[in-house]
Amino acid sequence: MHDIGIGTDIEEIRRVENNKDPSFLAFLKKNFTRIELDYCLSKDTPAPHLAARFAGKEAVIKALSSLNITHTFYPDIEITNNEKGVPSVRINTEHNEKLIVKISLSHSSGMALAFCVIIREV
Amino acid sequence: MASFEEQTIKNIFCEVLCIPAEEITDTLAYNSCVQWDSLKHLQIVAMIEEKFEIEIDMDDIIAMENYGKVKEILHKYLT
Repeated sequence: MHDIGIGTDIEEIRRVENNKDPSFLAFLKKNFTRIELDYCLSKDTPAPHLAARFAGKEAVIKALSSLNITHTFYPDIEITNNEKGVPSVRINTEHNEKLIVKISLSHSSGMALAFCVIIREV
Repeated sequence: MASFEEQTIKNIFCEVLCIPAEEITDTLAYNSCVQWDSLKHLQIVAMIEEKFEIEIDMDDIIAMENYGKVKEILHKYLT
């Protein structure tokens, strides 16, 4: 038997463009992992990548919530890309070993979107 | 760690939410203020932590659902 959780989120890219602002830098340091920041900030235009990852973290939290799994917060969720650009999720909290987490990210010139599916063995 | 200063908290809300100080009242709430969404919420938390040199627990970050509650929670850290 399996339970399935889903979550989605959409973010405006312009809202994460001001990455020199002190409040925004504090937000980045608190909610993104070092690996995520290194990846996003290595890009010529980091904003779409930051927005997609933030949307991804929101989507994961919503998918977890739909399975009644709470107390997972933004820095606990790390979204990375493999060499083909396929994103994957690692949740750095306890009791998530029976979860299969899949995520898809996308963006246009103005918006970034994420969709997450979580399968839990029961 | 800094002491509790409401004006500093209010200034952070004004700066992050881009709304005037007179609109920052105890009833200003996450679920009814269009400017106060999850991204802004996390920016407010990050600025408060930097300004007051504290680290706010996740449960408290989630419980900060209106300005009055934010002040109440911060009293716990700053007194």
